[in-house]
Amino acid sequence: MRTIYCDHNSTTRTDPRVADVMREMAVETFGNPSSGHRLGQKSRALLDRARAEIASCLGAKPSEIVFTGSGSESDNLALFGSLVSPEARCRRLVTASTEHHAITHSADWAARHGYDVSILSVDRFGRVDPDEFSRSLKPTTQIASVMLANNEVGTIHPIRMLADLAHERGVIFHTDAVQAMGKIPVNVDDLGVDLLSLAAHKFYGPKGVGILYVRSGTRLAPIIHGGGQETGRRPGTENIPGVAGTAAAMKILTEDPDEMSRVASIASDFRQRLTANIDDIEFFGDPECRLPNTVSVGFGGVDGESLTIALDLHGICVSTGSACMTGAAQPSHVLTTMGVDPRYLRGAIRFSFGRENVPGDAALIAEAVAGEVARLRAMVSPRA
Amino acid sequence: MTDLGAPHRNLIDPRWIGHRIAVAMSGGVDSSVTAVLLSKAGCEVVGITMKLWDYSAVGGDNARDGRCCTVESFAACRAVADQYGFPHYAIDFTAQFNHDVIDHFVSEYRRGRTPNPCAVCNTKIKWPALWEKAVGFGCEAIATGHYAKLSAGDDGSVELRRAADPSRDQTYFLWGVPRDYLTRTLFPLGGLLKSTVREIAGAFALPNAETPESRDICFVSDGDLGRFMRERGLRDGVAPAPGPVVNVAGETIARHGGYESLTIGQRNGLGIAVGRPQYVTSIDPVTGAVSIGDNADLYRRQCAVRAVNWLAGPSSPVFRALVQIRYRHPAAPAELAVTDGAVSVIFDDAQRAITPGQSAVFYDGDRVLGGGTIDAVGPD
Repeated sequence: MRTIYCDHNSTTRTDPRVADVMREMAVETFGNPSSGHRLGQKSRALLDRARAEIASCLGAKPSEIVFTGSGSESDNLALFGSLVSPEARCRRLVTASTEHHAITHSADWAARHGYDVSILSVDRFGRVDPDEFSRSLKPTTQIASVMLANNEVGTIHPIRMLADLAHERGVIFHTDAVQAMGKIPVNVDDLGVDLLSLAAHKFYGPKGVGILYVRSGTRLAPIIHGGGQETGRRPGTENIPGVAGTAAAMKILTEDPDEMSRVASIASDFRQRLTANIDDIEFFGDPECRLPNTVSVGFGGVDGESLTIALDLHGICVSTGSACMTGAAQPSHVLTTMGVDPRYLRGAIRFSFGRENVPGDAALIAEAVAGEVARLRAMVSPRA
Repeated sequence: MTDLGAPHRNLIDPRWIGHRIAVAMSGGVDSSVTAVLLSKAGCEVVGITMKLWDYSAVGGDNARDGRCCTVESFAACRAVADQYGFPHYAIDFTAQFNHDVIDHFVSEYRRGRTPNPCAVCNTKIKWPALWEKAVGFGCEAIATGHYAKLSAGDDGSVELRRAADPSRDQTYFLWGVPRDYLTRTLFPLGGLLKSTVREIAGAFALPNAETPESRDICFVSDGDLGRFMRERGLRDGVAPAPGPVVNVAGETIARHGGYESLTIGQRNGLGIAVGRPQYVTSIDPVTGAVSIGDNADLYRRQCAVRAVNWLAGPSSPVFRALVQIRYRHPAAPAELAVTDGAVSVIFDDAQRAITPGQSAVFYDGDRVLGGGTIDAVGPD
C-alpha cells in the first residue's frame, strides 16, 4: 500500500538536499559561533551566510532576522517581546479569533495577566473586517497580530492594508506567516509588517527552526534570558545545522517557482472531484483569497475523526479540523469561530497538498473519500 | 524468537481472521497481549486507546503511573503497535465518560448507594460508544483483554461465560453489554490464566509485560474516594450531608459528617467505639441516617434488582440461578422472580452486605444469564 501524504500544512518532508547540508554542518562545522577560535569563526561565517540568504529571500536585511526554535516561539517572542519591551507604553493587544494557538493562547495568558486584549471575530470565510480592525486600534494599543494565511482553511488576509492601518495609529504590526511561506509570496516590504514569524518545517526545511523577522527600529525585548546571541534578542547557542538547512530550503523554493501552480492544479482537480461525487458537503475558507494547496471541507452527517482514521487505513494521511495525538477531540476553534454549521464542523477534514503529491493523487484520494463517506453515512448500529 | 503466537492461534475465533478488528488498548499487559495475539493470528488489528478522563477533571496525583489514561499508558500502546506494525489511534470519549460514568458514580454515592462504574462503562462506553467509532472506520468486531469467554449456544446465540482463571473472571462487570454487541466481540484471554498471559507478553517482548495490575476505580486515581467526593462536592456546590449514626435498637449514638463515601459492610470510617466491631448496615439518604450493627446484622436474604439486561432470556417467570452481588462474592443459589423489568431475588441462605447500587449478576453454572443493579434490600 502506497502512503499518500496530504497533510503538508502539518509538516513537510525535509528536502534531501537540505538534509545533506545539515549533516555536513552537524559533523564538520561544530564550532560554537561565539567562540573566537578558527572553528568558531567558521561556524560564525556560515551562520552569517545563512542569515544573509534568508534575509534576501524575504526582502529583509540580515540584521532583521532572528532565529528561534519554532514558529510558536517566534509568535511568542513577537507578542511578549513587544509587550514587555522597556519602550512599550501601551498594554493593549489586538488579534483575531482564527489565529494559531501560539497567538490565541498567548493572548489568553496576556489577558489573565492584566493586559487589555481584543480578539476580532471573523466572517464565514474566516476574514477579519478591516473596519472593525481599524476601530479596535486604540491609542493604548501596543501591537496587532493577524496571520497572513490560515493553517486550517487557507484564508489569506490583506496584510498590507491591515499593517498600514496599524502604522497610521503607531501600532506595531505582526503577522504569522508560518503557513504562507512556500505557498504564496512572502516579502516583508510588500507586506509592510514590523514582525513576521516563519517555521522551516512547513517549507521542506528542518523541524525545530523558527524565524522572527524584526524590522529595523522595532523595539523587542528577549523572552529567554541568557547570552548575547541573536543580538541579545534570542539567547542560546545557535542551531547551525538547522539554520543552514533553512537557508537551503528557502533557496530551493526560489529555484522552482512553478511548483505551487503544479500543486494548485492537483488541489483544484481534487476539489472538483469532491463536488462532483459527494452530496452535502461544504468547503471552508475564502473562495478567492485562499492558499492554493489547502482544501478544507466538511461532510454533512459524517464524523471527521472516523473518516480520518478510515482514510489512514487506506494509507491516506490527512488531518481533522484539529489533530491531537493524545486524542483530545476539541472542535476546531477556527471553524467554530467562522460559524460553521455543527453538522459540517463534526465532519471537517483538511487536505493539504504539496511536493509529495502527483496529479493522480487527486482522483485516488477523492475516490477513497467518496467511498468512506458513503459507508459512514449508511452506517447502522448493530442494535438497529 | 519463539513464536508463542502459533500455539495460541486457537484462542481466536477463526471467523474473524482476515477481518478488521478494533482492539481496545489500555496500555496494560492484557489488552496489549490481546492485540498482538490477534495480529499474529492474521486479523487486521486497529488499536484504539480510549481517553476516558484526565486529571484536570478528576483531581488526584498525576505523577502516578501504571494506570490507564495517563501519558505513560498512551505511550505503552503506541510502543506495542509500533513494535508489531499495526495502526493505533487515541480517541477521546471524555465527554461521554464524564456524563455516563463519573456523574452517575457521584450521584449514586450521594443517594447512599455504592455504584459499579466498570459495569456502567462497559455497558455505555466500551461497547456502544467504541463500536460507533470503530464501525466508522470499517471494523467488524471489537476485542478487549477482559477475562471472560464467549461461545455459541445450541441455538447459535452468543453465550457469555466465566473465564478459565476464576481469580480473574470479569463477567461481573460485563452483564450489561447488550447481547447484539457480544456477537461482534472477541475475548481472546478468557481461556487463559493470568500467569500464561504474562508469559506470552514476555515471549512477545512487550515493553509492558511487567506492568502492575490496575485496581480500584480508574478515575479515582489515588484510590482516595473520600478526597474524590469532597472535591466533587466543592465543585458541584453539594455539601456533605451530616446525620445521625443509629444502632440496631434505633438509638442515635453519634453524628457523622457525611455518608457520601460510605458503603454497606464497611467497618471503619465513622470513628465510633462501642467495644466491639461495628459495621455500616444501611444508609438512608432521606434522613441522612447511617445504621450500624454487628457483623451478624449485615446478613439479608432478599433484594430487588432493576435495569436488568438479559443475555439469555429467563426461561420462566420464576427460576433458580446463582447470584453474585459484588466482585469477589462467591455466587450463591437463589430463587428469582421476574416482574415488570425487575427481578426479585431470594437467596437460599442470607448473604453478607447486599448493597444497593452494586450489580447482581445471574449465572447458570458459568454462563451469564443476565444482571442488573441492586435497587433495594429486604424485606427480610
